[in-house]
Amino acid sequence: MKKNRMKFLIIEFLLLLMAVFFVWKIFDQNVAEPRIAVILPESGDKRWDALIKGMKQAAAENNVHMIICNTEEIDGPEAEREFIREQKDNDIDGFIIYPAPGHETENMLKKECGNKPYLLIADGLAVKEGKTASPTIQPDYREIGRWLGERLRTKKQKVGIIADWKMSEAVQAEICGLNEALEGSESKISWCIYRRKEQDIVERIKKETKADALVVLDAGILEEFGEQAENGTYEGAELYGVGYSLKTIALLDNGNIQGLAVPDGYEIGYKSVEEITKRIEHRSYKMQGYITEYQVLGKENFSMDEDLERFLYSYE
Amino acid sequence: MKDRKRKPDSRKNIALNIQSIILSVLMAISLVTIIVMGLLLYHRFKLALEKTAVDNTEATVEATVDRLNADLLDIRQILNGANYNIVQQFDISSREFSEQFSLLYETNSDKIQSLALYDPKGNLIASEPVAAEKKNVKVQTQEWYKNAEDAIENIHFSTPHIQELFEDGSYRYQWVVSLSRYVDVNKGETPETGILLLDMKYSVIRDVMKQINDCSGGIYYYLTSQDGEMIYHPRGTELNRGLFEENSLDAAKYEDGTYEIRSGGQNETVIVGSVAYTGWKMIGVVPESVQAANYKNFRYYVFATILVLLVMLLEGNQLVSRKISKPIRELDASVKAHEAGGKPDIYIGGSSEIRHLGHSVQKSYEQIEKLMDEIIRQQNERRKSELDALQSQINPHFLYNTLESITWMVEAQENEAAVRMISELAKLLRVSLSRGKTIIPIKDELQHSRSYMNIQLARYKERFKTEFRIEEEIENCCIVKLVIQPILENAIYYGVGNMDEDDGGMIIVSGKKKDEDILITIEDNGMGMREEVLENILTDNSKVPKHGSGVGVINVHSRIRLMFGEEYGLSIESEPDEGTRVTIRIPAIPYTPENAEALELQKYIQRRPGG
Repeated sequence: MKKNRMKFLIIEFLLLLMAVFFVWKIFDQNVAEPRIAVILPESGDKRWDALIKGMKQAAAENNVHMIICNTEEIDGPEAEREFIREQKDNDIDGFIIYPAPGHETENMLKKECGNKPYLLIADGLAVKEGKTASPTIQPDYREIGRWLGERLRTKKQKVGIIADWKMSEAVQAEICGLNEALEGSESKISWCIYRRKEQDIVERIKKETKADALVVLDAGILEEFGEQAENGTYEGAELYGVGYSLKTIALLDNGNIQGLAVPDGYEIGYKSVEEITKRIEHRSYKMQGYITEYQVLGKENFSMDEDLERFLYSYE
Repeated sequence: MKDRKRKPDSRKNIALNIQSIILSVLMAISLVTIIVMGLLLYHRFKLALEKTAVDNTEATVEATVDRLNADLLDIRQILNGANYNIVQQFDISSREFSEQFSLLYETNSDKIQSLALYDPKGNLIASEPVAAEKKNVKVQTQEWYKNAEDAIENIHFSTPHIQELFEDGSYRYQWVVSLSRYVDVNKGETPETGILLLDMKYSVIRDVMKQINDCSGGIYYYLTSQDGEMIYHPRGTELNRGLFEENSLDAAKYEDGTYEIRSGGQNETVIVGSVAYTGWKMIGVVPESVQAANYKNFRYYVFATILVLLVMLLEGNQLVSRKISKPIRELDASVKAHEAGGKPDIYIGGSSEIRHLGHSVQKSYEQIEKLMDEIIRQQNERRKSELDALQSQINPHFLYNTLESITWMVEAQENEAAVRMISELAKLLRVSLSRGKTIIPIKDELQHSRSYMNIQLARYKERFKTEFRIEEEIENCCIVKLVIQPILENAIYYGVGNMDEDDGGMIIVSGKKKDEDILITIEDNGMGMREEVLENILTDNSKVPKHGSGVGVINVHSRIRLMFGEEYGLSIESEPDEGTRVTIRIPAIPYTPENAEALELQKYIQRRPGG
């Protein structure tokens, strides 16, 4: 009799446990959405339009609350550290970060983010032996460099390169691709300069030998040169480069830029939010880096075809 | 007869007590009822949710179609206004034309991106806002131009596209929906034709669609052309990149109404509404996953409620089953206690049926007890009468035989021997009578045996010898009277009686205690018995030769067993020409008046453990 009573109590306990589980599931659905902080330099800049649109779309699909930090230029790891700390106090579950230039950025990110997952959306980290361990969502910069090189090797010309930070893995990959494409051609890289803070780049290149083509790997500088060309204040070498904004495409459309590679910001944004959401929802999930698409546009054959229209829709 | 192995009774293993049966039945009924009710409730709720979602979507689609109709009607009216009130009214080179053209644009600049008039060669005649044409633009190759040329009576709506006509200093691309129509142009005296183009801002459609999609809770709305070409989709960018799939081609083929289709690997309900004039289809999609998310929450409520109800019912049913079965269990326990030998009162309580049952069982037990007492009394009486009958068989034989011997002695003038004989007979009769008692001390029985043997020795002229080897401690134990003498009688008749004096006939009577029993052995070295006689001597009265007293050992055996039980009695060993040994086994019961009386009344044996 006692044994039977015991059995009943165990069954009742198990049933109650299950009932509690389902009640918990009912209330579990009302839990707050995961919060993701996005740290981009000059967050209001037009070049992030597609990226942010992709992020917003993925955030809506995955029920994630996204906070885009309002930033000015982030010129080094120290500035980025401040933003990370500020957001950590803001009860953030994960970070999507455009890494600041600097040798200490990677260590700073590991230290500051601590147990909060973070994902990089372009590899601006310093070149080290091998690749960085942090998962990164970015286009194949080497392929982009190779495409630019292919366009430059069609005729004999001197090439000058302008980039933002020498030690960036992305910049190194682009230059490497460029070199590979130019190898065996009559075109030669004459010089390569890296932008410094507060530096007038137009004045800086005047000190270099005259180049027939400029490869601008810094989207901001490319826009600057393109705009000057549009206004007639820049004359000289043909402009090639990597741009993210609609403005750079319009500058190419207007004939001010000769060749342009546009990484798919929408895809970078969308994939990054999707990936970090998986990590936040499942602690055991190991985040993966992705190679994203990019659009290549040449001045001579530019036309508003369906493919380009679809690509530009992400800027709308 | 076949050797049949009996299977274990499987029913025994699943035998349940009444409480378990009642509980099981109640639980089964409760469980089935709750589950059925839960499922019905869930199904009803699911249908209601589906209906609500579909109804809401239908209402939204209808309202949005109305709004789009109104907006597009406005745009068409602007285009018609430009055609009938400006292009056909004024000379295109006149100032009024430019002013009216500009005024129309300015008035509607929130809706239209540009207004332009082209001649049949594709040259720009007029445009608002005034802007430089893009280099290398060939309007004749653009869809809106070709459509206007192909069907001159109609206003043509293009799908959204980037405007590729004018320079834009803002470094932006404008998304527009182009409305074009073939128009008659008033150019001085000569009537000419042209293509009137109105580029409607895509935001006119996008804002309406975005508004309904922003707070739709998983349900979404999109707009396609009648060919299934996407005009607006909330996940348009994902569609362009293959990150999302939409079965717009199928959906666009449907007439207005509600349909179930399969898209992107899941079922969805689509509500189709047509936008007037353009043939565009406004489609509201209720994905199965959205419905499922709504059901999921309710499913948890149903599960939690069922489980809580089950726990409560389990406890309640247990209480009810315990209450119902309690009188039966009490009755069962009292019956079991009764069966175990106790004499508790049979439980009488609970409902009237159980009370009646209790009363019946109680009455039955009382009757059984009465009957048992009666049977025991009758059995005792029967035993007594059997014993009496057996003893009454003995007495006449003894008397007859002994008197016959005395007669022979008197006839033979052996007076002393006759006197001794009579004296021994007197002792023998005294023991035989024993005041009518059946149980006597062993020493009296031995005295009886000695008297008997003395008489027989006298009769048989001392041709054999007798020896008594009795342990003293057994002399004061109980024995059924007259059990040794018949055996001695047989030992004489079948053993040593016919032997010569020289043959050394010998009868030894020995008695000893072994464990809790007494063994009295009567051993002779006479002719012994054949095996067949030995086999039947204790079982078949009819086969025992009727010599001597006429009382077979079987009678002695029966009397001992009747008095002391089946495990007691005689055992006989015999070898032809070797002799016979008869052993009497009786329990060692000290002779006291109480024990003797108890044995007489057959109560002593019943009281003994295992008796």
